[in-house]
Amino acid sequence: MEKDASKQLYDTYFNLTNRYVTVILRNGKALEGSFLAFCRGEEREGESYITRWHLVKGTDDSLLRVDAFDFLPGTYINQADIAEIRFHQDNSTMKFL
Amino acid sequence: METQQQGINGKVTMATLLVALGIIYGDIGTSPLYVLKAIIGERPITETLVYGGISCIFWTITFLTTFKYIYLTLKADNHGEGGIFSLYASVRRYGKYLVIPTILGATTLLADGIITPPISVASAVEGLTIIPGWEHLPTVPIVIVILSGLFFFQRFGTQKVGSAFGPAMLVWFSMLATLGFQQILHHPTIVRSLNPVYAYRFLVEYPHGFWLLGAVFLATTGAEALYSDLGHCGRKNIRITWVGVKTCLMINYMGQAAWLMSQGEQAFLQGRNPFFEMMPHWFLLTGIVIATVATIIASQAMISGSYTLVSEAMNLNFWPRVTVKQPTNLKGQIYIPSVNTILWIGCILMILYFRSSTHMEAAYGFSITIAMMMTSFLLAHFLYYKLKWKGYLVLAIVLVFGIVEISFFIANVAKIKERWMFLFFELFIFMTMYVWYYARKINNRLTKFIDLGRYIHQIKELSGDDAIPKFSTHLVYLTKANTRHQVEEKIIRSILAKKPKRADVYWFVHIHRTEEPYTLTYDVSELVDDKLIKVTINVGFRVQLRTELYFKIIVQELVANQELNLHIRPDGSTRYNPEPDFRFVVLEKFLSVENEFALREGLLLNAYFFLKNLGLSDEKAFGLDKSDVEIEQVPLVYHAIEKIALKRNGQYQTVE
Repeated sequence: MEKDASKQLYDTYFNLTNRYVTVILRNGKALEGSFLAFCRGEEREGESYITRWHLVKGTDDSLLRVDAFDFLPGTYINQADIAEIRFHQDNSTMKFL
Repeated sequence: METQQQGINGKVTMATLLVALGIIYGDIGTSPLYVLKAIIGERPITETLVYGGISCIFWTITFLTTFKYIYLTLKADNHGEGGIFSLYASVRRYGKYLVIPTILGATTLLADGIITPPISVASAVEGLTIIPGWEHLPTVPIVIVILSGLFFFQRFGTQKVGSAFGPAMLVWFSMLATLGFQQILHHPTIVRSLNPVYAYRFLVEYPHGFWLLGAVFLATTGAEALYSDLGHCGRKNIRITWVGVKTCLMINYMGQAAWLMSQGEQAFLQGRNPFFEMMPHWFLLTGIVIATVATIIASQAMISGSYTLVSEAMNLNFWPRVTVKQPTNLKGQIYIPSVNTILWIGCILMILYFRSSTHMEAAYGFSITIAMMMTSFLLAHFLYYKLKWKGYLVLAIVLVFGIVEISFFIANVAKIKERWMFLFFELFIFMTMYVWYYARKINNRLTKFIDLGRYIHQIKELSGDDAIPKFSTHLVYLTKANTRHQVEEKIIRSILAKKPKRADVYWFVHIHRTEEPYTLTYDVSELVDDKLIKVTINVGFRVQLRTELYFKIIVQELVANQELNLHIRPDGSTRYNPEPDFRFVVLEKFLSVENEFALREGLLLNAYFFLKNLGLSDEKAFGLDKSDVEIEQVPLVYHAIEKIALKRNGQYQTVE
């Protein structure tokens, strides 16, 4: 069985030391930053491993970065909307069909 | 922490056969009380009607019960367990759309649960009116008393009386066969009615014969229960006992038909029940008592089946969490007070509304046709994907069952006008399951996880920071994350944000509901030695959840194996109590006011939180002791309000 593309991205991403990435969406828009969090799919019901990513600007992903008013920075990206990801650590890319 | 499968599954002994007889044949076994009476109704007795009716009953039981359920559906076991939810758990990965037929099937099964006890018990008790002098006996109060007693005693379980069910049903089936055989001797040609030609003539030549399928169908309504009880009795026991049960049933049906034929052509039943009419007068009272006992056992099986169904629905996230009790030490025996109350009220309303079994016959069966169609649909997926049957063979099976079951469904549609009140009940069950399932999916979709590795350093620092007051020695979080290095973002926020929670050991406990029914195992992995520990407890979908108890056993085992040092970092409090304390933190979501909803999501989430408030609290649902639990409210933001036209008036004014 072909490996789930979102799982491939997850495995690759969390093995990086420099987690700064450029995400190119299917609508052509490019976003930069690092993934702070992700939403899991229900695999036993046929969903992909990750369904959404929470992208924040900057490289420092070690803090939650919640402000005093509980506002969270960043953007949510659906896994299905991602066309390509460039990893700044080695300039490699991962493309999604 | 291991459990064993029901030993009964593999064994076939006289005892296991008796148990099977007592548990699973109540519904289908008591059908002779009302089926032929419903077919004949107020029509004149003719050979086409009587022989055709028997032929239809025989071929319906053969096709739907023997072939579909006994032969085919019993193959679809999920680690020994049957029933629509077990079937769904086996095939759900093959299509998201399978949720709807599952909900529909479970809804209709539960809905018919409020008519099976009153129709069965009323049919038996009405037999008393045949006894001379008792013609005007009010049967409704007797039925209400019997049913109320039955529902009242549910809380004590059936451990003490359960062993008598098998022998009692053996007496019942023996009585069916004896009474039937005695009548067949008077009219032996009735055996010819098994010829399918009579069924054909009944459906095609008898006026409006097709619509009588609604009454014929009552003979097989208990077939779905056979499958649901697979786990209790085992496939072999069901298959072996079915041979005897079917023989007894058919002998009795033919005996009733023989008695009908003895009344002469064009005679009318005039409200009489052939089942009781064919009994010798001296045996009438005994026969009625045996019939009543059989119907009570049938009702008991249906009530227990409803508990199991709701319990499975909860574990598969189709139903809000409600209190589940174990009244006895019998494994798998549960009691759900809320379901018991709903069924009791439903059954009493049924008997008060319909007043007699004859009126209930006109409303009974419609739901089961839907449940059967849904089971067929899921079964096709099981045969194709799990048993790897050829596509054309599965398609042929679906087509044949489809035609038969849709025919029964159409014939039963006419009953809607008699059972309109059921639609509200069914809609309530369906919507509860639909809302709970899909709102939980939205909820899950919004649950963010983080890589725990990033925060280990901060948590270690926090744990050793004596400047911060200690929250507890052992801090336990329940997590949905099923992998070692993941945890919900809200848990990290609970530990680190706002007022950080210092503890000596941080535990992340994941409850994994397995697709196997009775699993109870665990895995432990230390992320940081004696500091951050992840525990996964694998719990079967039929096992009642007792997280705190499991957790304590796990900790004891880890300490006993010297895998965990249950040390406590000394602080001021340890002078008074050197024992470590455990604190569970439950993060409870609420619907934030800072939300913008689409219509469907808004309705779903609002209904979900409404139902959640009606059900069990999270700490009870997870089996946590209230004194050890800290509840934290976490807002659920589906879609934050983005465009707020908030304008400032004037300048910021300072004090001069």
